[in-house]
Amino acid sequence: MTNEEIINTLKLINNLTATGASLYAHIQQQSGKTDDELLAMMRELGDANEVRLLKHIAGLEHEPTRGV
Amino acid sequence: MRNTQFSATLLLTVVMTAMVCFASLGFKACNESPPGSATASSSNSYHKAVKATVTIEDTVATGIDTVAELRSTGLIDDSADLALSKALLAVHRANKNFYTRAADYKTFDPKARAELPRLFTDVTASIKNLNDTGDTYVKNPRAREKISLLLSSLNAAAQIISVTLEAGK
Repeated sequence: MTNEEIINTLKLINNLTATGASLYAHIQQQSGKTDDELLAMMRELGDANEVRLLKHIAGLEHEPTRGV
Repeated sequence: MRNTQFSATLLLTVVMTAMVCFASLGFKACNESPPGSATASSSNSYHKAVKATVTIEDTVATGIDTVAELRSTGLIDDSADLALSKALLAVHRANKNFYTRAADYKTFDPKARAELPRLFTDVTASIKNLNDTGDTYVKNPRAREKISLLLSSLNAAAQIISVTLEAGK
């Protein structure tokens, strides 16, 4: 394996674990909560997700498409 | 190099699946008995399902951040961003319908057992749609790996709910 390949692999692992770490932090917040607390947490999170997604989708649908 | 990347992704997928399993069920349940085994009480099953639905909503939140990051780093284009965002919205809405109805039941009584599996079908269909959207729109290998990680988490949570609902029949 070349140095470049090693660096690319480390970057890949780092990026993937960043996603994992973020999710893990979310999941940890579930510990020890009652059903009602979990449902309240989920409603709050769900509402925030919906608002973020609707705003983002509306923004994309009203913008001319950009290439990569 | 490809093998190393594959191994890293596979390892992380296994870790993520285990993480969701442990978070939703507890270590003992993951190792010693199926999540919805006959020994589990109805209220325990309900609690496990509630935690798994929170995990789905958490994963949608992580998915929104991931898609934004992929777009800002140029790993996906606007059409992929739009399609993935719509697919994430569909997962959120199906999950919301499911947990809103599930919240009306405090245990898996016969009525819940009749109704919730039908609503849960919409959740699994929306996860499949997200998978198909990723396949169609995301071509960059690094971006695909990140989407795969999200799907692993969603599928693990969905599996927990599915087994719990099955056990409740």
